[in-house]
Amino acid sequence: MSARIICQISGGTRAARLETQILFDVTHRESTLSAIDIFLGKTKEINQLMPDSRRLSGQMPNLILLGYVSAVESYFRDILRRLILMDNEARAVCEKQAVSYGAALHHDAETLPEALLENWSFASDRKIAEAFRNFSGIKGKLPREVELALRQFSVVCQLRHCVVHRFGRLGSNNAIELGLTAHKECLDKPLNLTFGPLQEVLLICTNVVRVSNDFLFNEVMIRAAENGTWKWNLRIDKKLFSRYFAAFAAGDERISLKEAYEKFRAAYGNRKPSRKQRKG
Amino acid sequence: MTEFDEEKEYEGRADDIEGEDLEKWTVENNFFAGIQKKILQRGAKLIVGPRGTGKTHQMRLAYRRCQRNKKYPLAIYVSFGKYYHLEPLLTKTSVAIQIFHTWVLCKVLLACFQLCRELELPQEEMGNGGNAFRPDELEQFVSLAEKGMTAEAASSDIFSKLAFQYVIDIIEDLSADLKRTRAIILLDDAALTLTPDYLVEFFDVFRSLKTRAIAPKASVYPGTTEYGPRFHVGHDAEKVDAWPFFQAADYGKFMGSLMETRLAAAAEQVPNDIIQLFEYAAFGVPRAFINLIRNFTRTGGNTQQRYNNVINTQRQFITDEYFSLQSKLPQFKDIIQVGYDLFRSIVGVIAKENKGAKAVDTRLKQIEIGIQEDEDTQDEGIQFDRMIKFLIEAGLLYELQPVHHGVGRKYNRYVPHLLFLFEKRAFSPGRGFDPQKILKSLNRKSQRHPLRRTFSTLLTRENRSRIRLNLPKCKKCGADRLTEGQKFCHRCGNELVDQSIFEKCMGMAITELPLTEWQKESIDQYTSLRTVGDFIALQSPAAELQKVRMIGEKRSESIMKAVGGVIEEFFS
Repeated sequence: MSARIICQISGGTRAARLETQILFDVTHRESTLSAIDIFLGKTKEINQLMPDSRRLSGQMPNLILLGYVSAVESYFRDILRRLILMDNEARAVCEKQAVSYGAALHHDAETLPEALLENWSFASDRKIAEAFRNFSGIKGKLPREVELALRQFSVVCQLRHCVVHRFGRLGSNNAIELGLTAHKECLDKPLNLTFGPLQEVLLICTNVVRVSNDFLFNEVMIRAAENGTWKWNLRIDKKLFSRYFAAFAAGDERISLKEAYEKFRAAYGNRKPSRKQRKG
Repeated sequence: MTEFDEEKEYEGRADDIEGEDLEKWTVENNFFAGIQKKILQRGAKLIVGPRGTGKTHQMRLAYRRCQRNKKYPLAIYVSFGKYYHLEPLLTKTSVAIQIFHTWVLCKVLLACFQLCRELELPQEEMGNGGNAFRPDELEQFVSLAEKGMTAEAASSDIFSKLAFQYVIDIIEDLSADLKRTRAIILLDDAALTLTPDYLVEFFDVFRSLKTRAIAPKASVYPGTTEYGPRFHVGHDAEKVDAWPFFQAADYGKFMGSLMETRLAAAAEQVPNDIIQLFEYAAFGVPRAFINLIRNFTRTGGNTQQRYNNVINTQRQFITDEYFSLQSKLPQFKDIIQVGYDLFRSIVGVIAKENKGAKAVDTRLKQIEIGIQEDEDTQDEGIQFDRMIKFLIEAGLLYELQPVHHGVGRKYNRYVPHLLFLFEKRAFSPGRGFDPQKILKSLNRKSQRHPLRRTFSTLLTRENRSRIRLNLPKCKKCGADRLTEGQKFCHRCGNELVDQSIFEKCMGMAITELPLTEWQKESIDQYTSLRTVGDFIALQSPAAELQKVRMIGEKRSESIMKAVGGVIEEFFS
């Protein structure tokens, strides 16, 4: 059916052309930085978009929020991908999971786990907690600190949802998630993020990454210790330990590889091997 | 009181008065009884007054009365004076506010155990089944939180288990067991001036603890109006003024009865007109009144010299206390300084007015200033409100209701501390010292309208431009911060790190302490103690001090007292 336009009331249109295959930087190589450092690098760039608190107006704060949530999400993808690649237990829980045929054909071994995470959303505390279980194999209830950080991030995700889908207005589902009683009057009202609250949003995003990074690193290292992976001699363990350390350690923290190793050795090095280990 | 026990009688802090004396020394009058009534009745209340107005006294008295009399509600008394120990958590962990929340609940439950012990009905645990709490585990959490052991505190059972609903259930069960129909929770020292983040959380807990059968009552300083977006003064809690205004009808009686009950023996040593002057000079603060009388009896010289001495000492004390805020809240350094200049300027114009032709002609005194909000006050970043609040909180200004003189002419009214007007001889006509004449001027009627001024007439242009926050620069690139709540540098993008005030105090070197040079040198040479924090961290700092030759039990004790004094003063 041809379009039945009798009266054009939307203003004129112009021809547009977009070649997406040339838009991506194909020369890009995976960074040697840790996942958290990549996150911090990205957010540092975003932070510089706010040169003056008074002139931060219009859609800018909303866009900054989107940028941050995107950075958090890509951190989770990054760290889980690395875990799947280097951690035996994480790989074992992922082995049974399916990836699309196209992804299996074209990804190389290093990036294949990305395909595994492709359909996964990291936009709520539940989904992130589930991702921890599904892709890293860490079981059990999350510590309260992690739970609280994820819950705060979930709130930011609700705001993000408003910005992405409703140009900042509060939808009823979001209001229910945020607490309907307190947000009744805000329904369908636009988000007005000023400098102060925006800073809190950014801090919540940074916190969720730092807290999750600590949690994942420690859980994985303790699991490895309990499995008897470590011989508690740095010369022997260094090769593997440094892979984990490089994936997790934030450059701005002053802890060295040796110090980190010593902490685990102090906590687990003198324990008698478990029955499981002796059998192994 | 038959004997004159000087030290006990002059004790200004209710925390240090023993239970029996507390009741014996309680002044009976309408003002005091009114506050007692508000504390004991139903409904959440905020007891508002600057330091020394008797908030703790009132609460502890209500607590004792409730213990004795079964007709009264069940009362639980908790002090939050140690909140600043949790201040470093804010810069250390993302769950600082939740740890603080649990800490508050723990303190309330521990107070329940304390009450049971005092009633000689000690309990091993409170709550039911999986949600029963023992005092030792609560104490352990409190201690972990106060020592800043965040990882241990965050992974403890109490942290994941304790919710306010359990606390409500426990208190309601306890009141039923003790045959009381309802309960009051007395939350003392809840001003939390150094940590606004905790203040907001505290009043969330306050609101949550309020039920039909439980009424929370908190003591706070005047000037604080930011209780968070969910707490509405008036709706969530009624304000109760614990700071009597010296022009109120009952004021003379109130102070007079304080003299009779607490300071009867001293009355003989102080001339009557001086007592009356001190009643005014105390500006509604009983602790200040007690100090004035005590210092007068201890000072030598003729009446005039003694009077001048005492007034000057007290004035210095108040000024020092006000300026101590600068080290506690360094971001307000300039605001606090300009605030003082503003205060001096107010005192200056009011004193002048009282000596001017108008006062002489009309025979009326002037004690009020009305400050009109002018264009300057609207300027962004200029924090007139914050500045005035500091003065009110310190008790230097007494706030009255604002008045309107026509459209757009709103005057915020304040009365400056009388002691400073005395110093400027605002009420001393002519030369010399005549208490009777001062009293006569003071007892005159007040002028109908306040002395009207604007910030522009009270402060120089240069001073007005300084009413801004002093924020630390970014440590990485040196850029000035844009706002107080900024967390990331706008220039280099790095996270902005705040220094904890508590840690700043703990980092104070031995050389900065009020010790003798010899003591400082020997401590440095023979012990491992270097900072205030070292004293706190060591199990037995006294033993460490005694490693020094010539420092024994007595000296180590006095050194510890000096260190404790520094900490106390820093955070009071």
